[in-house]
Amino acid sequence: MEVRVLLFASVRQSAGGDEIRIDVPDGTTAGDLLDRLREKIPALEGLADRIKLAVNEEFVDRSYEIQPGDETAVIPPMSGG
Amino acid sequence: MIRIRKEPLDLGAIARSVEDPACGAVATFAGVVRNENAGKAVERIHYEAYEPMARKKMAQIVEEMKERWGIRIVAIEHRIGELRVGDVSVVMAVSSPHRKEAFEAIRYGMDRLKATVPIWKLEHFEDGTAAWAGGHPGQAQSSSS
Repeated sequence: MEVRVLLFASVRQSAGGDEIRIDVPDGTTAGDLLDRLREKIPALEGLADRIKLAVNEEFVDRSYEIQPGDETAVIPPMSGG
Repeated sequence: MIRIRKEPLDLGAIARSVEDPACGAVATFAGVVRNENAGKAVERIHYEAYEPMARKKMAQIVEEMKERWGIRIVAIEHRIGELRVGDVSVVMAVSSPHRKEAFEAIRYGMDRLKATVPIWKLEHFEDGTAAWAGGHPGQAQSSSS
């Protein structure tokens, strides 16, 4: 299934765009997705486990299984406020 | 009222928006862009947000504040885009019958905002360098990229 991944901050700059589309097998978890993205986006390596994944605007665990049509987003350390 | 906007924030209007005849206390907080961070002089700050999720997380914080402290009305506004030193980046206003709850809730609300709302700031320093706050590794590009 094709997964849409929104990118922000240093990850967005490293990837050169605010969105990436990636093909993954059914049953792919959030953790698997981040591993795949790490191969494509250098900034993710340095951020390691300080990255969160959001799916449909909610934070999810690494064990969450991605569903077709999910809107995912890579959330690096936040600094709002 | 929850808002994310590029225009300057109006602290007075936001405070007035939470007024309620049953509330004897209105507490406000404004976050302001400082002129230095970790010993480096700041020139300007770029803020960006995952807007739909940021609004959702702010709405959740509002519900938490109402449930835990009996707060009547909460307004949260965050500015995004290019801000200068002295610009207000965030305003939070709450109203409650008494001041004890207003003070405690607004402190909690700001702590939760900083921990859970997907907004990021890129600090541009006067020495020409830039860094995403929160320890993103590597040299950041300017915010125009």
